[in-house]
Amino acid sequence: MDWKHASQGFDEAFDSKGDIRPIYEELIGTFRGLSEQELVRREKLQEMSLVNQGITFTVYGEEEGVERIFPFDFVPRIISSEDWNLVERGIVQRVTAINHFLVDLYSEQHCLREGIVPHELILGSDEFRRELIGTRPRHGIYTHVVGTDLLRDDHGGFLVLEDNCRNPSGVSYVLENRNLLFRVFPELFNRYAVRQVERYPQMLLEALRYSAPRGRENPVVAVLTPGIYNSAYFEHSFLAREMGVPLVEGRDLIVEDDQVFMRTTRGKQRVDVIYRRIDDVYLDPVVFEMNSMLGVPGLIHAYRRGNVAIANAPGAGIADNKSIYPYVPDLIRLYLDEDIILPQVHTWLGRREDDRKYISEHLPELVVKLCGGAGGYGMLVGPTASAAEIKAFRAQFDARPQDYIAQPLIEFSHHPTYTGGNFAPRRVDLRPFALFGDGVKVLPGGLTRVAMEEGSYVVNSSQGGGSKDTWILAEQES
Amino acid sequence: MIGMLARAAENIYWLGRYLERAESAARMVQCMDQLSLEIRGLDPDLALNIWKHLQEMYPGSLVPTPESTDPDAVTEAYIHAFLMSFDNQLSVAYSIRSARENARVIRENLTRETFVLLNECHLRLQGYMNEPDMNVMRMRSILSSTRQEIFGIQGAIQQTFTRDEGLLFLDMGSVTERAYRTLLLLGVKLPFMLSATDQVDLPVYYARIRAALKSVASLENYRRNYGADLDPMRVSHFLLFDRRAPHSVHVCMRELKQHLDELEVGSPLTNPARLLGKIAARLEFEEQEILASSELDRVCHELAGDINEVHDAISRLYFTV
Repeated sequence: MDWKHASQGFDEAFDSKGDIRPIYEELIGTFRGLSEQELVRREKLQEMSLVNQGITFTVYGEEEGVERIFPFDFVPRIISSEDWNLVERGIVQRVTAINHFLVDLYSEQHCLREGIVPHELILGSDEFRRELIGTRPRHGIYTHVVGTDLLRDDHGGFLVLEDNCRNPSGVSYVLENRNLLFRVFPELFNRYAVRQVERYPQMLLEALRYSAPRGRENPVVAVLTPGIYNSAYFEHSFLAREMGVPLVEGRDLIVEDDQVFMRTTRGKQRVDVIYRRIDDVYLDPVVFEMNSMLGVPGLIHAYRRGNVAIANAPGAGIADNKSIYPYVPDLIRLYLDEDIILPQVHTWLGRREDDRKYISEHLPELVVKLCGGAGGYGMLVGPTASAAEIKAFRAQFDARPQDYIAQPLIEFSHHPTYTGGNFAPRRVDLRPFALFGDGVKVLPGGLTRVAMEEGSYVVNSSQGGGSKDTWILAEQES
Repeated sequence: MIGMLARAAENIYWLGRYLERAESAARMVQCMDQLSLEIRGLDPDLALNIWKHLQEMYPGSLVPTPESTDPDAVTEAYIHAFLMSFDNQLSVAYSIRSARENARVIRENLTRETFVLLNECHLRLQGYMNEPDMNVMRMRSILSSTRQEIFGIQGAIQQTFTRDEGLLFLDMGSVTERAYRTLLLLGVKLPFMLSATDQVDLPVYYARIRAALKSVASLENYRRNYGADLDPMRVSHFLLFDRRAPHSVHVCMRELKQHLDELEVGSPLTNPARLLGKIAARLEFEEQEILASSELDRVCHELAGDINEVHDAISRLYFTV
């Protein structure tokens, strides 16, 4: 069976001469020891397992309630402990600085007064919650859970593509992918010391409890979901189950005397920490979107009074607005007095006159993103777009250039992926997850998303992407 | 004691009801099918008409009226409607889909084993919809395998669930549905069972009584108690008052009461407990009067109505906070 390697970009398993990189030798050797029939059998077993366990997501824009499985590729991605140490340090630095930025933004606003970040960028942003200026969450933590999207450049160096500080999703697949690989290809684990990811629910619960209001000895934590038709409902349910906490919808909660309660069979039960998986605007119809049926009237007032913790804290979304991204190195310098550890991609801002002109002139060469967008929506990948798509996108860009940023098309790294009975290189990214409780901790693993189609850059689950198990190797004892 | 989320309790209660309903419908259809085959040579008209009893036992069920009077076609139409149709809200497939929807909403309250088995059962039933050349033989085989799968799910629940409020609500849903189905069966079957035996064709008569017992999974249990003598009053007594038969109304109500008592330890008397107490008292102290009633079928329908009231009271007390 063929193992093709990438002709462009960085191939994680093969070097430029086509030789297997040392950390992949055992893995590829194990796969080579299996017959084609055996691989097909295991692939079927894996698909059945995903379907039967209902490990699914719901796709927007389709008939309500359409469940799809998130395609899983069984060739795991391996990251050495040396590489991971750098990633871990870089993420801790980044998450710490972003949290300082949020604390500052909702209090003293040094970053605005010192001109590090332009006033108008913040004040004109939909994600900035001016209603929450002066409200400080417990321990000053805004970003309890952060997913940072990374790429590897042509030399294998990690680059930060974006931060997800609102409701980063995908961690359930990290855990389920590992379980699945244990079941379907147990022999792969024989020769590798792979760091565990199974502790994530415990780590998350600890981080959430850490943020509970002062004086609450055994805080009650709940996961707040928009409901069964949300694309990430499986994950909400998974995390609630794994943490052993209730999964609630807005209609299950009420606010009385500035305290939040859930409706139980024994009457009202106080809730101390809400791990919300709904956007700010839907959290409380009294303060934000008045037509929201998902939220809880009075929730924000209870939060302001310090009677309930909300994770991630309302207002944290401003930090992952794509127009903030170019300023992160400056923020790291401002708050931590350090140089950035993980480099990031050069970015043009549609709101800057010079940048706007450049973007407009180079639209077919650039990746252009909506500042508040997520999930691959509202985005143009110029080099792969048709003339008609570029024309349509230009009209949107010209109407509100300030809403967009642009970046050069970065060649993703490639990773062997089992497709059509062969192992072929496909583009991958990586989303590690950081938790901010009593310090910032990074899960030793992450969601490797893979563009399943040849030539594709789209790794989003909603648009045909798949995922892989990500192995972080333990440090070898000397 | 920390209560369970009211919405979760409601969903888990309905999960119990839908699983019981699915198994009951599958069993009922199997018995009807067997009875219809058994008496086809003895009483061809009855062999066709007994399928209509199924609709009476499942009021509100939607079965397209078969155009043909060919017994095979009629049998196929009814089995299809009660096994695979998603238009019929009382079919096995519909009940399993509803149970699975409940399970998805409260997945965090279920064990992985339970969800996987239920999901597999649902997916298999959905898959049969697209199977070419579906025929009555195939559907009979699906009925059997689906019943086994439902037993598997119910077994997984009992083996793996934490003994907490969740299991109490699930079991409450299950026994409520079971008692309700036994009463509806008796309501429909009693008029013929209690008819004078000198006016009926005895082989058909006993075949129908056997089928009635089997359709509430009670034939073997009955025989263990009373031997092979299928006396209609004993059958009525057995299904209403027996203290050990899992499908007797008495046992179901006793179990429902135990679950309610466990939920309500230390609380003043609640409305569901009060209503259930009335039913339990009737079953305990009015046994002779009920059996002597000239309208026993009407009493069964009354009791089924009382059970619905208990259901409503449980919903109001626990699910609408």
